[in-house]
Amino acid sequence: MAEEKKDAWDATQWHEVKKGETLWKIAEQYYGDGQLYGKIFEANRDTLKDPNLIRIGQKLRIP
Amino acid sequence: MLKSLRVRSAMVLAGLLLAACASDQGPAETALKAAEEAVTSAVAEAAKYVPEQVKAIQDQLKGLKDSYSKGDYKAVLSGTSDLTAKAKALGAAAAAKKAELTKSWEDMSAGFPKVVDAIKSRVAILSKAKKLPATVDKAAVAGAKSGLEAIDKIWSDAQASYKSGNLADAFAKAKTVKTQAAELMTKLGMEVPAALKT
Repeated sequence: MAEEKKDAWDATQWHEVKKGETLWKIAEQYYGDGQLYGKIFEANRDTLKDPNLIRIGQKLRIP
Repeated sequence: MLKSLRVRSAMVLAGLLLAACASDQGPAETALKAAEEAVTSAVAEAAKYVPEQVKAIQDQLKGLKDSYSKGDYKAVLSGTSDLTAKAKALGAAAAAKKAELTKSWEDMSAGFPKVVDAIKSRVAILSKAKKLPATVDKAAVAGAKSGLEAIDKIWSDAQASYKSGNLADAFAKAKTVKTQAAELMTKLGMEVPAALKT
């Protein structure tokens, strides 16, 4: 899901967490491979402390 | 007697007209020279930024020169003041366009590399995936690598053109890389930034 952007050049890709989603599932959605969930976790270390703990509505960067 | 008077009157009138025309020639020549100088000094810089306006003014100058050659000095005198005013306005129009293009280029110079980095990052991750998302195929990932190389090359050429003052070429190449980057992002299932859509 797109985050509202002020900078027209901002190419950051965003995903808003929905009910039942995990980083694994999100990685499957964008990369086709759940094992790459660590890429998403690393890109969101400023807000995520544990890859197993994500909140509904949380906006995650998808590198 | 009457006929002779008419002939004399016509000759006098023609003489007066000739005299009037001749008296306009000097001022017309001076005005035309002044207008031409104003145009010449304005177009050098303006041609890079507002080429259509430059052409219109040059066409107008040519028209006035033709009028002068035909002896239509009144047309020259009435047209030169308008042309001189347009030549002065051309400088302001060119300055405004230059500012607009400079801002646009600076924005792209700062923003476009971030777009390329985002695509490179996604390609690097997808290259490691054992399976790809349903919306992305292997050919798209493989093609993205060569596509990124092409974008890097064209963008580098665009920057060189801008530095050398060839703005038309720089912006044409910039448009090309924007289109190519948008296509790559779409094929990779990425959201395309607004700046690539304009």
